[in-house]
Amino acid sequence: MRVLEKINPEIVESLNLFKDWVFRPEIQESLRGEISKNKYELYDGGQSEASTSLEYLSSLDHKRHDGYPPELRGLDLNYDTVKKLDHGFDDAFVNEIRDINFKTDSLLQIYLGAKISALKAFYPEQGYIAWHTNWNAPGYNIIFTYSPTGSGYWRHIDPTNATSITPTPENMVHISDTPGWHCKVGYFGSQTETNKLVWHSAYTNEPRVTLAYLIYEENIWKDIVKEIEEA
Amino acid sequence: METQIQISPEKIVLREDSRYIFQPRFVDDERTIVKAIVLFPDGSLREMEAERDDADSPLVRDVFLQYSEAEIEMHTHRERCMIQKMQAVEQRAREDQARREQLDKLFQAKSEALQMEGVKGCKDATITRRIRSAKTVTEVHSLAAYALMMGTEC
Ligand SMILES: [Fe+2]
Repeated sequence: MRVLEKINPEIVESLNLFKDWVFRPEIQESLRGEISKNKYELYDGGQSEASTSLEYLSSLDHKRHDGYPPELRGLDLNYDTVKKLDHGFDDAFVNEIRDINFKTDSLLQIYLGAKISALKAFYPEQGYIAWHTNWNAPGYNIIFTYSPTGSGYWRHIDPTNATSITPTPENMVHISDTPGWHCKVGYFGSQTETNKLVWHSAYTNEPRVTLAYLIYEENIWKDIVKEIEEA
Repeated sequence: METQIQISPEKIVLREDSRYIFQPRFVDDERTIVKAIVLFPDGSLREMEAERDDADSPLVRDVFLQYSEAEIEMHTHRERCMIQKMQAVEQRAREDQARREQLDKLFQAKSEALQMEGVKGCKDATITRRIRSAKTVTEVHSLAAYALMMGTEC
């Protein structure tokens, strides 16, 4: 997993399109209304950050993990996810979500050459995504995160030399958010690729946006990484 | 003498041979065709329609016996709204599907072009990068053809 702190302006412009939409007051009202309706055990118990703790990671049934986060305080605004999950959004708002997805992906997904838009998340204050692997969708990832002041973080378990799916707590890597946009790139392996299997989680003290794209081909992914690095 | 059965004091007046009518509405803008769901004595429900001016139609007779013009208009409006919503949903689904297919084709074209020996070996990284970020399949093919034509010079 590598962190790229500088992103070329062309990509940032597309990222801002989505971020600026998310932070529009009327959009925030709808998103926060939806978030407040859901039950978040850790948040309600004042334990938001427990979701990214090593104790929480150890407590999971690793063998029965399905790849998805067991708990998330935030919303995935990917249009396909919104359609599938039957949020409480009205038709007009679902259409807004559809429009911003199309606009963002028409610029970003096509520019990157990414096959799948994996995530378009908004996290409120004390938002989190609990430890998980995404091993149901292995591939090369490009993960863009926006944080206003950088008061949030990402954690993952470095899988180098791992021989089992059980994460090794000593190999935890903590990456603080930075003010503005930054990017993380890496390969997330399947259940059988133990040395490429990335347990990861994130937490934020302030509103945070993450867009992730999944690329199946290494050469395309390498070219994107190179381009971002050149920024 | 015709016997009438009073079902609801205000509205529904049935003759002995009448059927219960549900959701009566006009099909056309000119309000010449009436459509409704009819309950038959065996318990089955059937959707039926008839011309409003058809004096011999039991359906028309029963519709206007049981419903006022305003009520029929209300059902007409409700159905039209529902149809419009369904059409919008179907239209969106068609557009989504078309978009997905278009994206899939584009990524497939990029992937295939970038795997071609002549393109892979291209020394000019700007060409492969432009293929990666191309907006259309035509653009991908043109850039790949350029890379192939230029050979190792590209
Ligand atoms: Fe993830």
